[in-house]
Order: sequence, then structure tokens, then C-alpha cells
Amino acid sequence: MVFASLNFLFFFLAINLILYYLIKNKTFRNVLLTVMSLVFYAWGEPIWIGLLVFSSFVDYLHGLLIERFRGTKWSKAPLISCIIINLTILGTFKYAGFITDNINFLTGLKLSVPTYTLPIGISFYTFQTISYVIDVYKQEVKAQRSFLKFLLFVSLFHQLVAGPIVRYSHIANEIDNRKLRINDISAGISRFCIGLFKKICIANVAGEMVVTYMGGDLSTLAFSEAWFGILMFTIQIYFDFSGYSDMAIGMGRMVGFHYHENFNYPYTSKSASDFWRRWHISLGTFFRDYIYIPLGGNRKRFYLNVFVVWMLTGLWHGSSWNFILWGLFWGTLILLERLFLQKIFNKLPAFISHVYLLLAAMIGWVLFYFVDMSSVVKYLSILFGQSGNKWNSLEFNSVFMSNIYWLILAIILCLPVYPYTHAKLRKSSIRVQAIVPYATIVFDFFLIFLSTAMLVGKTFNPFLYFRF
Amino acid sequence: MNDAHHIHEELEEEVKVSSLIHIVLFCVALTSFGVLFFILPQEKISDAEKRKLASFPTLTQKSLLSGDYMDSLDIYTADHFPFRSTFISVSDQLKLIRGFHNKEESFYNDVQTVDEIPSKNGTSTKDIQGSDEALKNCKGLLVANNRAFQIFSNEEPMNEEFSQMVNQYAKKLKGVRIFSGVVPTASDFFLPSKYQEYIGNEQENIQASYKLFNKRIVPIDIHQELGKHKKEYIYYKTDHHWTDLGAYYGYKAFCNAAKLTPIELSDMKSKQIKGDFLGTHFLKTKDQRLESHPDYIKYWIPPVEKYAMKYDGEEEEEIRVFKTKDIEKNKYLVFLGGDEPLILLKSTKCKNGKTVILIKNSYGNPFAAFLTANYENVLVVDYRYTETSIKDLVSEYDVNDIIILNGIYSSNTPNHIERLRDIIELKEGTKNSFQKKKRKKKEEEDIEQSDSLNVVLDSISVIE
Repeated sequence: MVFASLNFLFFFLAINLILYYLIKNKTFRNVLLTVMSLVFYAWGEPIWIGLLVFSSFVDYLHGLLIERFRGTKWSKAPLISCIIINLTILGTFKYAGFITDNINFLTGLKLSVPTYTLPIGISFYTFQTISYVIDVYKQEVKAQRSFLKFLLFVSLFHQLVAGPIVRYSHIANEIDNRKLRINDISAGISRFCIGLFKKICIANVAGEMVVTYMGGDLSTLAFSEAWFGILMFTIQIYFDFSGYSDMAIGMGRMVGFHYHENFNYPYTSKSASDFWRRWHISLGTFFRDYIYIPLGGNRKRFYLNVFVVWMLTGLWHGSSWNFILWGLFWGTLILLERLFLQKIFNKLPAFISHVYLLLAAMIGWVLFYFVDMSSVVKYLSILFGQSGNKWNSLEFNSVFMSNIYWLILAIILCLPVYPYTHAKLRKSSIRVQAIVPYATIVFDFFLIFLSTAMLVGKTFNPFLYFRF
Repeated sequence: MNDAHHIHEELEEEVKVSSLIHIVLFCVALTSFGVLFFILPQEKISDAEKRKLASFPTLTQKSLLSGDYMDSLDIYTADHFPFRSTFISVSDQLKLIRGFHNKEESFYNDVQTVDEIPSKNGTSTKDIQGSDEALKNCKGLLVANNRAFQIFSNEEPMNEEFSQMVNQYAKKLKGVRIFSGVVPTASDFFLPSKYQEYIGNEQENIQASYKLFNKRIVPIDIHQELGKHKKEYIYYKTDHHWTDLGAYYGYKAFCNAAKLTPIELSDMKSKQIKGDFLGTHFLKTKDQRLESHPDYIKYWIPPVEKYAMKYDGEEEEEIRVFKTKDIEKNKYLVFLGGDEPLILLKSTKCKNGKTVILIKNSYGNPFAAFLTANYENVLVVDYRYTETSIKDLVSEYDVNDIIILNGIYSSNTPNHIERLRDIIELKEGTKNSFQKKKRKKKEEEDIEQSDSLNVVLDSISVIE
């Protein structure tokens, strides 16, 4: 099931909230959330639900084993075994096809390429459980003794399929005792509505145009259309991903969980390193804490560490070479910035740094979008006017103008308007402040209304995360 | 000081009340739609969309495990959502306010009225639309001057492939004259000049194909003949076809090429179908300017027998050459009643024993009947659906002439060219899968005659 669907909003979420608020018993609440999470997952992946439960059970056992063997010479064994099992599961389901393809290519063998589909969310939940066992090993959290609660952590539908990557240590306390606060729930609802609007009214609309311009015939794509296409993808992927994170954080608050922020207006960044502190924060910190720093961080083998981390970051997004290239592209920029680029930018006006980052992000998304290299090359050649394609097309002007207000809105929403408005309102007169909560209610309903109309109005509701 | 403190406290309190209201309203709103979904009466057909709405899926172990059941449930909910039509019109309005629109012109670059062809494994035309095949050289629609234009991009011309295919007819069929004509769209004649530079020139493309014909193929310069009559009503504004008058000038161009004397317009009786005609371009765009400038259908009656014989591979059936009933939803069906695999038209006047084969798609439907002024028998073959090979027809009917009539798009689309080549000699035993689709549609038509909406939409996609 996806959040941005009628069945989810008006049946699943409605039933979930009402039952949750009616039930007072903590354990029953956990049971409710777990059962509904499994239903949610099975809605999209009826077969692989078994894998999810199995994987959770293995990790749960290993958590207990780590505590059991703590202080003995076997203390590391369960940790290693658990990481191996998790990576094997991820490797089998996500990378088997990619690996056999490459082996076949390199050796000329004709091994059959596995064709099963990727279980949704596997990249997210295996990372969550890996972070759990490592944290248990490092004694940052205690192992969870109740399988129900552990399964709740892994399968919680808020973040199961599209992140953020919630670490056990962040919500360990809330799994055991969390409180429902009225103001919290209300804030969660607002957050959810904003996420819903971002996904349906911005990301989906941009997505349709991405299909037209980037998904069409590149040999006839005009220069202006190519730039517009990549701009649309830049908008789509941000609003889609951050919209999902907003909804996850919002739904968490509705039932008493507080997840960490996953995005912080990444397109306002001034450098690649800045961008990655603001984009998919839960992934960046995961790689920093569990790979980069254990490898030695910037103290030893700095270049190798950067290479490994960014190659893996790329690979995490999908099992093909373009994602690896995309990761290395960012890694290279970050390295160059560290070596000398940052010093240069510091002397130049901030505006130039912004332009640099946006261009870098857009070029990066070209690598991200096209799985095959020939399309990447072709698309880049159109963007840089080297393809011989025409500069503009007849219909483009009209398409551009007929979306101009929407485009301006989308660009404004990439900026921190929401915190800005909040800060302004906080300084306003008491009378205005008294109206704000009610205005928020009206505004939220307006967002739901628009989103519902868009959902009913068309069935175009693609899901971007199947590859992750 | 005290007052201020008091107000502050009240404010804190009020935030909680408003939060409570917020939560209750949110839950009530979500739930009430869920409840309304079950309470409100459910409609089966959407008039606005001209289609049947999804029915409740049946649960099977297979559909559950594959996830199809859940997908169907999602579609079911979307199709029967409370106040669906209101929400849809809101979303249409939202689309309009996304930017500003030029009053003169609109582009619909996702709309294709390319000649569609059912694929070999019988998948629906929808799948084809998404494939590269259908996209060849068509960049959508432009509405300007209250008329819809297909945007022809001459970026990947198929002239060589097309002419090689036509040349195959000369190679494989001896003792017959072979003519080939490509019908342009309205763009070359009526497109406002400011758009010309962006749009591929159709005449250039057509001539490029004609130049590659071998000596036995006689090209029909339809473009030139139509160009002489630009001021007349030769193309529909809301549909991608030529009018009966346009088809008549096409016929005249053929007569020039074949050195025959064409029948004069004044020698034929003309009739007009009652009511307005809104064609495929309107149905796909729903453009207001097209709606307020509808077409009409006027046709001329050549010396053709009122009834013709239609063969669909297994059965024969009598049909009216001009179908005037049950064509409310798509009046272009007046010509031969639409696309049939094989039709035999008989002339009432011309008893010269001569026979012509017209190989066509829907552009040929108004064209065919005029041929009865010069031939006793006219065999009309729709290359997309026929199960009979041209070679068999030639030997069976003692054919004199063959006309291969194409639209500009089908002559530049690989699977059409391939199909045209295949039907010269259809291998025995290979059933034409195009035919199955057609027949299935026919069955549905018989079963659900009341549900004409579906049939109309289907037929739109089949018509060239």
C-alpha cells in the first residue's frame, strides 16, 4: 500500500487512528500497530511478508545472543553472523541480478539471471536492523526482549517502505512507553497533510512531465525540453521523497513516536557536503556512523574511505552501474570541495555556490534517472547543446506557460517557507496567534481536499522506491 | 501584568482545544468518506468518461498472492469514491490554474491519434500506445484556429522501408497494375504559418517515398489534388480523417494516375448526416474550442449497390455501404460501417468486369465507394484485420488493379509497414491474431448493446 492512495487515507489510516485512540492498553496498541503494519506490507508484497518476519526474528535472536555472550570470547560472533545474514538477504534479493549480469559480462559465462522482484522496503529495513545489532553490540541500547515490540520496530508502516531509516536507539524508549499528547497529534496531522500535498500535488504532477520529457524519445528531445525534464525530475524526487518522510514523521507523532528529520531543504545548500547533510539525512548518518567512521573516517585511509562510502551510497539506491556512478559523482565533488573548491567558493558570492550545487544536483539526477549509460551520455549531450537536436520545440513554450504558476509554487516550496512563516507568526500579535491554530485546521483540510481531488481525478500515482 | 499573564495562559489552553478539534475533525473526515463509500449508491457506468467502472474484484488465492486483488481493490475504490465526479472536476480545474493558457492555441502532446494497430499477441491498443512504435513521428496535437492538427515530426522518416514494402507488391504480384497513395493530414493545408517551421512537411515525406518506387508502381499525387481544393471542406476539424469530399479528390487523383475518367460530383446525389459530428480529436482532448466548432458529415452516393458483402474470415454478412443507424457516437462509421477485414462492393452501373483491390485503413472508408464508378467489383481490404492474402485475392477474383492507400502516419510507422508486407502472402495456417481481437469486440458488442459507450471508445482506437 502507498500513503498517497484513497484506500490508505480513508480506510487504513482512519481505522488505524480510531482503534488506536479507543484502545488504552499499551500492549494492545502495539499489537494493533504491528498487525496493521503487516497488513500494510502484505497489501503490496503478499509473498515477501514471510521474509520480513523471518528477517526480524533472526535479528531479534541475534540481539539477545549478543547480550548473552557479552564479555566472552564469542561476543563478536552473533554480531558478525547477523550482519552476514542481513547482507546475504539484501544481496540475494537486491543485487543477485546485477552480480550475475556482471559476472556473465566479465567471464562470458551464461549464468541464469534471477528474475524475482525486489521486496519493497528491503533496503530500509535491513539497514534498520543492522544498526540495531551494532548498537546493541556497542551497548548503546539494550536488546529488545519482546519479539512483538521488535517486530513493531522493523515493520512499522510509517517508515517501512520509504524511510526514513529509523534507528532503534532513537525510538527504543518510545516503543516501551510512549505518551499521546493532544498537541503532538495535532502537529502530526499538519505534518502529514503537508507531506500528502507534496507527494500528490507537486511530485506526481512533476512526475508526469518527467515521463514525457525524460522518458520519451531522446533523439528528438529539444534542448529546452531536456532542461525542463531534468528540472521536473529534480522537483519530483525531492517532493516525493521528502513528502513520504513528512507523512512518516507526521503519522509517528499521531501515535506518539518521534522520528528524526530526514530532509532539511537540501536544494538551498551551498556545497555537495552541505547537500548531503540535508538530503536523506538518515541514510547519510547511517553510512557515516556505521561505515565511514569505523573504517577510520578522515584520520586514516581518507581517500579510500570516501570512495567506499560513496560507492555503497550509490549502490544502496539501486543495483546498477549508474547508481554507483551517481554515488561516486557526489563523492568526487565532496572530495574536491575538501581539497580546494570550498576555499574558492568561500571567496565568491554565495549565489555562485548555490548555482553550482543546483547544477551538480541536476547533473547527478541524470545519472540517477537513466539506467543505461548511452542514454546518460545522450541526455547530457542535449543538456550541453552538443547533440545537434533542436533548441526548442513548438509545444514546449505552451507546456511551460501552462504550468508556470505551479512551477513557481514548487520552487518556493523548496525554500524554508514553513519555518519562516512560523517564526513570523510567533512574533505577531496575540490576536493573530489565537487564530493560527484554527487557520491551520482549515489549511490542512484544504490540502487534504486538493490531494483527494487529484487522487480521484487521475490514477497516475507511481511509486518511486521499488528500486531502493 | 496580571492581565497579560492571564491572556497568555488562556492562549495555551486554547491551543489544546483547537488541537482537539483538529484531531476530531481529521478522524471524522477520513472515516466519513469511508462510511459514505459503503452507504452511497454505486454507479456502474461513468457517463463523463464513457466507460464501465470497475466492479468489485473476486478474491482468489492466486489474485491475493500475486497482489492483483489489492490492485483491483485500489482501482475499485478510485472508481466508486464518494462525490467522484465533483472531485474529478476539481482536479480538472486545478490543472487549468497551473499556469496561463493561450486562448488561440493548445498543445496536447500526450494525445496520439496515430493509426493504431493491434499487436500480434492481441494485447490491447493501450499497451501499444505506450510503446515506441506508436510514437513514431507523431508529437501530439495542436488546437489552433478552432481546428485540431496532428503534429508531424519528420525526424525519423520511414520512406525507404515504406517504398521497399510497396515495391514488394510489384515483385510478387504479376499481371496487375499497382498504385500507391499516401494521404496527408490537414496540417499541410490549414496549419497557420507561424507553426510551420516546427512541423515536418508531409508533402516532402510523401514525395521522398514516391521517388523510391520502382517503375511498376504508379504513385497517386493526392496531395496536389487536395491542394487545389484547399478552400473546400476537405478535412474535419475535430477528427483526424479527411471528409468524403476530401476522399473524392483523392479518388480523382487516383483516376488521373490510372488514366480513368472520374465521376463528377454533380452526377452524384449527396446527403448529410443529421446533427453535429465531434471526432476523435475532440474525444481525446475535450477541447472547448473544438466542441463549439463541430463538424458535419456530408456524403455523395456513387453508383454502388446499397448492400455489400463483408467477410471476416469465416462468415459472410450483408452490410450497408452507408450505415446511417446506430452511428450516434461516432458518425464516421457511416462509411462502410467502420473497419472490416474484407468487403466486396458492387457497382450498379459499371458492368465492365473489372476488379480493383483497395488496401486501406480507415482513411479508405469514404474513398472506396467512388471506385464503383470505374470498376464492377471493388474489394476493400483492411490490412490490419484481413486473413486473406492479397495473392489469393488476385488469383481468385481476376484482379486488374491494386491500390495501396495509407495515411501519412501509417506510412511512417514500422509495424504498419511490416503488416502491409506480410499480407501479400499470408502463410497458410497462421491465423491472423488481429482478427481475433476484432471478433471479440464484436461479441462484446452483441452481448452489451446497451453499453455502447465502451464500444465507441474501442472503435476510436481502431480507426485510423
